[in-house]
Amino acid sequence: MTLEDILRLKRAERPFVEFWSQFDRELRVKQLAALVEKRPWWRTISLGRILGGVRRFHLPLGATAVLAATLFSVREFQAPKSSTAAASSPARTLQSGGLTVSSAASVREIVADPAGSALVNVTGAALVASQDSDPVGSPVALGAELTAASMSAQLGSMVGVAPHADESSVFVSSHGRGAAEKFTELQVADTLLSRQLLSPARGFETRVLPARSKPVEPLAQMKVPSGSRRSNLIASATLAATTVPVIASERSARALSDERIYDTSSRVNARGAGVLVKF
Amino acid sequence: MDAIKILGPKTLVASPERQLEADSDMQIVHRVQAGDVAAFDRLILKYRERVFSIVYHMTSNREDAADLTQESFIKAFQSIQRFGGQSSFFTWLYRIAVNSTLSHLRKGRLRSFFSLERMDSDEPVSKEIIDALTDKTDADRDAFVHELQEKLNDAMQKLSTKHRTVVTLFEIEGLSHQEIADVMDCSVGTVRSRLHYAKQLLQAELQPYTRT
Repeated sequence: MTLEDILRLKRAERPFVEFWSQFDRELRVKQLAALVEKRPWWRTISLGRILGGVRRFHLPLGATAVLAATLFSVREFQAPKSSTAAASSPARTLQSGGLTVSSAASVREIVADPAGSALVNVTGAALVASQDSDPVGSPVALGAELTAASMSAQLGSMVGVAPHADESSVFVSSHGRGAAEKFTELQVADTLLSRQLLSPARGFETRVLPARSKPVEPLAQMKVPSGSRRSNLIASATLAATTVPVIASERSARALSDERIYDTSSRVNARGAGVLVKF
Repeated sequence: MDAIKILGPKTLVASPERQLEADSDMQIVHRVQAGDVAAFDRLILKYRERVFSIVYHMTSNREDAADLTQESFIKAFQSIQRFGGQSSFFTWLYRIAVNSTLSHLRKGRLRSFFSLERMDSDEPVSKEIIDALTDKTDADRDAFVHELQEKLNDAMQKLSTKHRTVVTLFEIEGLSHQEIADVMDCSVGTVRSRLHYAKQLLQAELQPYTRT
C-alpha cells in the first residue's frame, strides 16, 4: 500500500444524502439574504476594471503630462527673461535674430533715440553698415552666435566695412583714428552687452530663492529693565545738559544791551602786562 | 497540444472534457449575468460536492466545510457579474473556495475536533482500494479503515495550509499542476515543490501503514 493509495481512500469520504438537503436549505436562505442585503458602494467597485480603463489612456495621459510639464517649465524659465529683455532693447534686437530680422528703419530709430546708450549707438551703426554693404556672411554669423565675445569680434570686423556705409552711420569713420575710438567704444559696449545678456542668469538665484532675513539672536532682542531705566536717565540728563546753558546765555544776552556792553568794555582797559578796571 | 486551449492570459484547460464543461458553464454564467438567477442553481448542483470535498479535506471538519462551501457559493453569486471568463468557471469557483478556506484557517477558527465522513462503499474505486488494503473480516476492515482515516487526517493537519491544499487538489481532486497553479495563483514549479515536500511529510507520518 502506497501513500497514493491511502490518499485515494479519502476520495471515498462522502456525506450522507440527508446532509445535502439540509445544505441546500441553508444555502437558499443565505442566497436570499445576500440578494436582499445591500452591498456597500466601495465593494461594488472593481479595481481591475478601473485599472483596465486607465490602461487604455496610458499613452495619451503620459504625453499630456510631459507636454504640460514642458510648457510649464519653459514658461517659468522665460518669464523673468522676457522682463529683463524688455528693459534692454539692444539685447532683444540681437537675440531675436540679429541682423537678419531688423530693418534699417528700426535701426535708425534706435540710433536716433536720444535716450539710447552707447551700446545702442554702436549696435545700430554696425547694423546699418552691414545692411548697406554687401551682406555676405557676417550678418548670419552674428545672428547665430550670441556670445559677447563673438559679437564683439563681428562688430569689430564691421567697423572695417563701415566706410561703404550710409551717412546715417555717423559713429563710424573711415580713418584709422576713428576706428580706434570706435574699437574702444565697442569694448565698452561688449562689456555692457555681456552684462545685459548675462543679467537674467545672474539674477536667477535671487529670483528662485526668497530673500532670507538675517538671523537674529533671540537673547539680543531681550531688554534688561535696569538698562532701560539707565537709558532714560541718561537721556534726560543729556537733554538738561544741552538745553540749560543755551537758556542761560539767552537770558544774559537779553539782559545786556549794546550800551551796557560798550560801557562794560570801556571800563576794562588792557595794557601790556596788566589790566585796568574802572569803577 | 490541440487539446489545450488558452482561455485567458494564464488559464489552460487541459482536456476536451474540461473544455466542454467550461463551455457549458460559461453559457450558464451568461444566463445568470443576464438576470436568470435560477440558472445559478444548476452550477450549485454541479459543483457543490466537489467544492465541499476540497474544503472538507482542508479543514477535516464537516460543519466548517458546509459553512465554507455555502459561503463560497454566495461569494460567487455576488461576484458573478464581474466574472469575465478569463478563466474557466470551476477554476474561479475553486479559487474562491480555497481562498475562503485559507482565510478561515488563518483566523484560527478551526474546530478542535475532527468529524469523519462515512466511507461510501458503493464507490467502485474505494471498494477496490479497501479490498486491496486488507484481507481481514468486514468488522476488522471497518475498524482498520477508520483508524487509517484518523491517521491520515492527523497527518494532513500537520501540514501547512498551502501544502495541504496542494495535496488535496492534486491527489484527491485530481487537478493538474497547471490548474492548481491557477487556483492558488502561483507557478507550476511552486506547486510541484509543495507537492513533493508534502508527500515526504505524509510518508514519514504514515510509515507504519505504507509499504514501499
